[in-house]
Amino acid sequence: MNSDRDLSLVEALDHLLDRGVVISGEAVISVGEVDLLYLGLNIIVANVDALTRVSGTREAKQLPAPKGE
Amino acid sequence: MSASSRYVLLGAHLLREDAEIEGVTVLPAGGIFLSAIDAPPRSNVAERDLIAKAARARQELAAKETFIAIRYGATASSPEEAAVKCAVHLDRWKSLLERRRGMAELTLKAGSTSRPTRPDRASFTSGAAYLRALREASRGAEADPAFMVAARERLGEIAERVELRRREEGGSELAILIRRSAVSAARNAAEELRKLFPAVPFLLSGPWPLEVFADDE
Repeated sequence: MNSDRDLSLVEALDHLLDRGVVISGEAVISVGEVDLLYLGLNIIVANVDALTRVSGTREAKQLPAPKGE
Repeated sequence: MSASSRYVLLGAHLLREDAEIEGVTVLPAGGIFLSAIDAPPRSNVAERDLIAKAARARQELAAKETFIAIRYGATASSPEEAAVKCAVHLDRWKSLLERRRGMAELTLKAGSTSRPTRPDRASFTSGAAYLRALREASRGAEADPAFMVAARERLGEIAERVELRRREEGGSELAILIRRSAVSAARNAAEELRKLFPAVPFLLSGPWPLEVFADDE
């Protein structure tokens, strides 16, 4: 997988996790003035930047590229 | 979909066919349509494979037609529950989708050429104090102002709207609402900017669904 594909997936994850309309059942909360994402009243509370950095750059390398690339 | 599985909502679409791609379920809701991916029973929405699947589906949907993005993590156990969860938004979403059909968002992220000093975690006894210091360290790390002005001007000539956003981790970002037919012109403008400002690291990405421009009028 080349760096463009890695970058594309990191971008896609950044938009998925950090953008879009928040509907009921979700909440964006702040702790220590740093925004955290609380996913769907489930158990994960993840810093968005850390999640995209770790999931996007390390683990994405094991995943196939998005269609159209 | 089995009785024990659930839907992870992706977005809101004006027409059913806008959301019809492989692996995506289309749910009617108040005169518009919601796209969703099926999540396995008892799965957690934080699972890597599910997140990656949702990210890819959202990219494919964005490439197809305009839609409103729903922040990842919203789930429903049935089409009826999905419609109920989104009920307060549906009229406004329909109006927005009609007005902004044929448009997309682009994102231009520009990094700072000067990197802020990161605080040393070992120097802090309080996690909250460390987080505040991290945030402070990111202040003032905006991208080259001359680049941002030039980018705003060039893309503003092509786009419907351009909005400056501040990134928490440093750098600057433009959210660009643009006609889908003008996306290639925006990419050409980005290449011109790259020649004019070779030292500025930046990325123009998209088309994305309505995200920044999904909440305003």
